[in-house]
Amino acid sequence: MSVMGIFNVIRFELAICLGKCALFFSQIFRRGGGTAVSGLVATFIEPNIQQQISKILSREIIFVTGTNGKTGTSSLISQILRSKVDFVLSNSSGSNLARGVVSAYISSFGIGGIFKRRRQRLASVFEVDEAVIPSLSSRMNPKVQVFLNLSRDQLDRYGEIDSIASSWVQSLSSESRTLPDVLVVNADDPKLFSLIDTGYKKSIQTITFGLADLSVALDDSFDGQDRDYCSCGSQIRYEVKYVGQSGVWSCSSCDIRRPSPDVLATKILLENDRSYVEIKLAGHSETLGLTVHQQGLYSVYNVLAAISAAWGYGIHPVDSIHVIESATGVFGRQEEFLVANVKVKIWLAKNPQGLNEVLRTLTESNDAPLDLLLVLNDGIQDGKDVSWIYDANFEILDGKYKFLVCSGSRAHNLSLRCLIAGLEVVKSDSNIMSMLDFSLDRTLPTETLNIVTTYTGMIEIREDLASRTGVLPYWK
Amino acid sequence: MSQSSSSPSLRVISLYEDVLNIYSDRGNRLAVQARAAELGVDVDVDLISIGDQLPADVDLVLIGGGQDREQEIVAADLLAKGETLRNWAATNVAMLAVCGGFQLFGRGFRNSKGVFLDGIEIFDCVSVTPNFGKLRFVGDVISKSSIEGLGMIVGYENHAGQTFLGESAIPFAEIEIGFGNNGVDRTEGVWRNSCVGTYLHGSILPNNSQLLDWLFKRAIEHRMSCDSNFDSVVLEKMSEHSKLSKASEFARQLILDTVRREQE
Repeated sequence: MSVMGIFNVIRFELAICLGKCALFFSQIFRRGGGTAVSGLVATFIEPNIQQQISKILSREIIFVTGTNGKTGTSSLISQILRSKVDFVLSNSSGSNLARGVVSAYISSFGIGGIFKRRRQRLASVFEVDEAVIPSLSSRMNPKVQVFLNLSRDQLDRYGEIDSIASSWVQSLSSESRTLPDVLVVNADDPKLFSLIDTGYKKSIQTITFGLADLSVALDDSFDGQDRDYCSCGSQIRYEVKYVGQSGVWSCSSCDIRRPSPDVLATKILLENDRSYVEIKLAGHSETLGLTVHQQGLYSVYNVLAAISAAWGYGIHPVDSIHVIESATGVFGRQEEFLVANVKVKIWLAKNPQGLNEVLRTLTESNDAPLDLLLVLNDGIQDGKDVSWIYDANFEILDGKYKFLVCSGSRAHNLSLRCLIAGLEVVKSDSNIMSMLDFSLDRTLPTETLNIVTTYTGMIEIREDLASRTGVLPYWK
Repeated sequence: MSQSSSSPSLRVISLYEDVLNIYSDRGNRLAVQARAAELGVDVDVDLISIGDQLPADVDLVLIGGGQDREQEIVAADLLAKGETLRNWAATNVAMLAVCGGFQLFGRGFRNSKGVFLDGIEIFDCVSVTPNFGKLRFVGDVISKSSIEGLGMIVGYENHAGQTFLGESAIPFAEIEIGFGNNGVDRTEGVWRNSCVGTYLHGSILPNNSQLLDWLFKRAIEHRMSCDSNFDSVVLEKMSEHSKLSKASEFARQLILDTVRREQE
């Protein structure tokens, strides 16, 4: 090893060591999970730390990105990989910026991680923020890249959707990086077609996934849907829509259409607390059936993405299915608690598409009127701008709830939105804990209190429920 | 809703809502519908998109914002509808044009690619995108309206285009916090007759019920001028306290307080 080489190793290990200290102290003082600050410290000492980590992982890296479903999909992929390799590194706490990768490394490996790769077979799964993926993928050169979907989210931070889409395509056209071996892309989302096209043109193995079951088609009466446009400028037409702008689409003038998905869900039965899915693989005649222990059609898309990603990584879907059927959920996403005999379920929703799917799942899967606590915060992680609530379909709740309570730092905007939708809000206050108590009091023992919340609200509520019920906070 | 059964409907159109809808400006239409329901006024709402014919007779026109690409898609169609819309603006039809729609209701807009899109010249203003759109004006806005009685207007802006008003144009508001039309002259939006152009999302009408009622009242007055059967009792009812205006006023006050506090 050269002098420079030794210097680099020392600097790297020093960065990890100080990052570890930062993690330790921030947990003692309970400043959140401390997951972000440790990465920040380490990156300050070693600016090229992501490249180093990539080397240690020998590029055994899967990146997952998209507007919705990153955490759930990454968690499924991690669990599948865990059945095949010795250790899977992931940023499972949802810290998905460039420093989150570093934080994950620090909390899992600590000092001396550089020697671990010799003894163990390692793999890693990282969920990566939509805006960060181009720069981070050029530094870490992941082997597999998964693209889930793209819709409006936090426009105050990301700017326009089109610029995100083109930055993704550009990052695959860059000369300065090693291209991924495998691309996994949602074929049903027309905004992602240019990625599939780029994959084909660059001869990257491209695995697409999608749905083909008219029984779960989206009711098209909601008028807040986007029109989509092909790169030729003409309007995208749909045979059927499943979730948001995902469906069976084609351009109205050129010959671009939804590619035939390699991993296709041909039959879907959505039930109260699970879904049954049948999958057909390209080039295979038999179908595979599995039970997904999460509600909603969006969860089915996550499962298809995870199976495709694992397939691209060399794990056959039959093996993935066994893992998915017994997979554990992700914190704060359809997570259930039992508080003094009342069932509480937390749903995360932070953009119009995500909220629409949660509300659709709630109203379709429950016959009894809903007990609902809605929480809207405007922290940095939630988005400072709350305009988006007017793009979400609150109207769908009409006649479907027993009571509706609003809370969060923007409770007043949320209750106004409900009023405009013609809904009756029984109480609204910015104090989340008092509204949680109020809602719990009104929920009967046989019922479920459903809490639909933005990110920081979820963290706050989850921590409170965890302390009441003895469940560990996410960073333990 | 009972007394209005004999009274004619208010006619509202929302332009290109399926294309220019990235920023929740459909909330403005929802607010108009909710206010009408509260007042017992029947409204016919037409969603007009590319290739659709404009109705013969309209009281309120709404248009929202979109991305560069989407503005390019609607620009030619809007030009074809321009003459009718200009005539309506001159005859006191109420209009609200937000962000991208506001830019196209002016003389024209040069976008981040350098393409110049002709506007329909309802407002005397021109919009440009300096720096290839690298600089964006993003954040909360507090402004004081120049329309008598409207007071403070709250909203959220997010635009790369900058608008400069012509000599005859009157700004809709003066910026207290935020960037406004161009980040320099402290103007925000424009107004003329019963038409308002603005950069503010939020959506603007739900959060500013005084502006909602100003437009609503002018729309009703327009309907009354066309149709003597229209029941004018609605105008009196508008000044009464309502659930919606109370909730909206509460939200506006909290936004004013929060944004001013954060500014300090």
